[in-house]
This record gives sequence, C-alpha cells and structure tokens, in this order.
Amino acid sequence: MSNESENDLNSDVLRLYSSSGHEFVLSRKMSYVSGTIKSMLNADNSNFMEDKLSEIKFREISTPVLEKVIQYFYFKNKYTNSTSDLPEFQINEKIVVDLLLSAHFLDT
Amino acid sequence: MSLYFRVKRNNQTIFLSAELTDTIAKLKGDVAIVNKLTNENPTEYIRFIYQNNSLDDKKTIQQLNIPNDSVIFMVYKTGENTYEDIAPSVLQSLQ
Repeated sequence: MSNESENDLNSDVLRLYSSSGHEFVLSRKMSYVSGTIKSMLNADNSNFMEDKLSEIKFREISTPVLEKVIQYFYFKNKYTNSTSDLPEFQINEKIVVDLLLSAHFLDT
Repeated sequence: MSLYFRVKRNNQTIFLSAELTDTIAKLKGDVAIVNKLTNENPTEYIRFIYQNNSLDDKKTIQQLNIPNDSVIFMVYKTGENTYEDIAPSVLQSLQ
C-alpha cells in the first residue's frame, strides 16, 4: 500500500471521544454536518489543538448519544439532495432527550 | 454505491466507509491504516465477525450482503490460533 493513500486516509480521519472515553473514528468530512465541529476544525485561526490532532473530547456527551449523532452525520450526507423516499432515522427513546441537547450543542 | 459499517473493538468504534466491491481484506487494510498498525499483513491478525461468523478476506461486501450501518466486531490475534474475545461492553452496545 503506498504511503500516499495512507496519508490521504489518515488526513480525513477524525476521532471523537465520549464522556466515558469511548473512541469514535470517522471521516472528517462527515462531521461537518455539525456546525460546532466544523468551526472547531476550520476556524481561520487554525491553531486550535483540535484541528492539529484531529481529536475532540466531548466530556458531556455519552457513548450512545455520540454514536447516534455520528450515524446522523452519515445519514444526512447520504440523503441530502436526494429525491427518493427517506428511510426512517430510528432513535431509541431512552436517549431522545440527551440526543436533543447534544444535537443542539453541536448545531446539528 | 458506498456505505459504512461500525467496526467495534473494546473502547473503539470505527465508522468505516466501503464500496460494494471492496473485499474484507481491503477493509482490514483500512483499519490498519486508521489504527496505525505496522504489521505487514493486516489480514493475518485482524478478524472481522458479523452475526457470529468470521468474515472471509476474499469476499466482497456485495457478496456478503451486509446492510449499511451494520455492526461488525473486530478482534486481534493473540496467539498461534487464538483471538481476543469480544468485550462484553461491546456486545451490550447493540441496543
């Protein structure tokens, strides 16, 4: 495997950590669905540590909620500008309130 | 047609993008890049488990018919013929 494609893959990778320290690895581009994450990573003053390390720790977002948020990033990216019927985006009722709060924080 | 899987191992979930034509071997390679594993041949020590079956390196996603957003468990080799067990916390996350 060439070093170039390795670097490409790694430069697109973002790591998000939940309150319990669970690590989620995802594509940076997908995460831009979140206005908050997008500004953390893209600010003109790109001296933000988050941008350099490509890691963000969310000490107040639990693992199941963070996972649902990331699933939503992929869901949104997939069906934006699509004219076909959207499948339902299922949400476990136990996490609904926390999910709403986190989505608000993340501007998603 | 591109899709993604949630590859889970211990305290990590990788949202791994894939095409229908990708082989399991190729995906293992991607995991190795993401986790910065230096071993030459990822297929030798990474095992993917889906619905209690170990996935064959040579098969493609299309052949295996794994739906989008599925959870695939990952374990590393620990010895000649032994692999890690799937952590209970990971199994529990399938709610």
